[in-house]
Amino acid sequence: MPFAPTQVFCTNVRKAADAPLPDAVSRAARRSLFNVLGTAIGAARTEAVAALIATAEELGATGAVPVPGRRESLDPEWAAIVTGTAAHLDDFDDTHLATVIHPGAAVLAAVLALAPETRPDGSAVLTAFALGCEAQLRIGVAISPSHYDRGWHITGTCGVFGAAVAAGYLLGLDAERLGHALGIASTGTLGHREAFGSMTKPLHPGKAAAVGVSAARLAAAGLTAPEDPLGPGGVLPVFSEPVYDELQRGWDATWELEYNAFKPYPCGIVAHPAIDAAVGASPAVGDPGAITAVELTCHPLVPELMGRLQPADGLQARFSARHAAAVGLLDGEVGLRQFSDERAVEADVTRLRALIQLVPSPDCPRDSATIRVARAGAEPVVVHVEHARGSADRPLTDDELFTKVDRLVEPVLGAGAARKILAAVDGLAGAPGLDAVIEAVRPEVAK
Amino acid sequence: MIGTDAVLELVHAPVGEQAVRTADGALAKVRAAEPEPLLRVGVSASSTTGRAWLFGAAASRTSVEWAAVVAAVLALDAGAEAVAAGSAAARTVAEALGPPHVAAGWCLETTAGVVGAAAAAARVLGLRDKAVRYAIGIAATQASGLEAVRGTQLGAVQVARAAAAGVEAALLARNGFTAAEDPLAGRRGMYALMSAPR
Repeated sequence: MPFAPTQVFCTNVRKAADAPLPDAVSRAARRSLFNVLGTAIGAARTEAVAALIATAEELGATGAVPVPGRRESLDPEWAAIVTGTAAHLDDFDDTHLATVIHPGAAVLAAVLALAPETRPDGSAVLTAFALGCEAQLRIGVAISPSHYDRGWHITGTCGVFGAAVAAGYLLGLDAERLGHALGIASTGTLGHREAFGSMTKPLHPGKAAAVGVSAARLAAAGLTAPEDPLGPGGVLPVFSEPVYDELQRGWDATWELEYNAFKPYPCGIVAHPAIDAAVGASPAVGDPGAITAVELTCHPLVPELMGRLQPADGLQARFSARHAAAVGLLDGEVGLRQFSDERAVEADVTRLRALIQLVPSPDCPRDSATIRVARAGAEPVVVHVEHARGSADRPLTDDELFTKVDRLVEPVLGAGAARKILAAVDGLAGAPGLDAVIEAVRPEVAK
Repeated sequence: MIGTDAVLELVHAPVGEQAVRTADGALAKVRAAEPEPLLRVGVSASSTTGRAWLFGAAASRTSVEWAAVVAAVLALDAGAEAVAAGSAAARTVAEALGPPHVAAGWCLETTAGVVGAAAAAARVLGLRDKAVRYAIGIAATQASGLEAVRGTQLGAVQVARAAAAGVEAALLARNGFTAAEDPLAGRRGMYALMSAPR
């Protein structure tokens, strides 16, 4: 066959699976895993996760698979749904900037779901995670940007493939069976952007994980799919105009996973340069009561996507660049607490938001911003951000990533938990299994 | 233009005698069928969604219309009226999707079918108001399945998955899980993504 993207793709996956992960890929995988464990734990006590767990328990879906940040153990399917959903819930998980795929959520969920029965050693866990993310991203690149632009939530649609590859690796599928797993997964793609703003958005990677695991299981049992599911007769041309060359590219050069980025703030990425500027200006500003006006020069997308002036709750606050800048100036940090329903309406925040003027400038790059804080009886404070933290030119440092995860997990697991999780993730390559990670991500049994 | 509300209204609407008779026949056929052993892999037969999967796999070996709807209702131990209502919802979604949907490669039996299955389950569970809307929304965003595999073993998998997802959507909505307000006719909803000419 002269043209068989799936065959080439799966052969490349197997080749990569049989070689040690390149150092840069291994580092990217560990950072992505650490971050996505943090976001899954950070969302473990939300209403959405409670609703999922209640449903799982109603269905009798308890089992041997642990859920990060929770005491419950569920069956593989429901553990996958809960973990994948929690990981993406606050939109704070890893982001591949070119495709806007959040690859870690569905893949983490698939790997955790199958770990108790496949007993992978630590290095196989990392490989499964890296392969699942990379497969997902490469398929995403082949259908970007038109697929997302049309309205598909690419994290769901591509998530099924990433989860199938990670699960297929853990189940020991060869290239041919892996192709069938992808074909089976292609009949269960999901995710409409209409669901944005509801609990169903994060459900997409959760269900994608469950679909991918089931697809890999069925392929392992011998179920077959039509030939070349990633090719012209498959689902990809239904989604977009695929660039098949992207699927057939070798895996020996740079991996897409290396471009996976980590958001420092739990809101739309366009406002991140402005938040950096506000947080940077905060120590010099002094008494917030002395602020008379704030001018924020930014990319035109900032007011377009995050133009809300006075949000009424935490969710709305995530769509307000003025809110983000105000809490950055007042609190000197911008985490989940700054987007709580309470903080969204507090008097000091409301007052300061009203003083902030967004000045969109076509000359301002997307990852830049300048803040000018005018004060009564003092010189203005001016901070310019060239490249925002978490952007391609200024990735989050390991320390910044640690701080982020620490703040996410501390309210759920207590002080010191992030340090344990990081040690377990960093030690995976030489670990006999996933036990240290599991122990670190679960609450201690009540004393 | 057939909006989301038109489908929501069908969930608790009265159903005709003829539709109930047809549904009774479909229920009997699926009860008498068995899923292929391969399709039992990884499925918990003790849970309602697992049962929906297995009935879906069995239903796809019969000639019943809206197999996913019939399977969802059987999993919930309910009867013909729910099948009739779910089928009416599926038919309405199918009509709204129109010919471009199948031409693009989608399988109506499972795309409209998952919404119909959620509608039937919402009726059985007695969901009201927002919960009905969200059950339909949770299902709609999962609409999938390819015409190319219809009638194959993999075709049975996609029917099974649709039946289970429909039941699951209604259970999730009952537990307070939220979804889009206008999942079918919204700007980035099911109809826009899955039937608009490209």
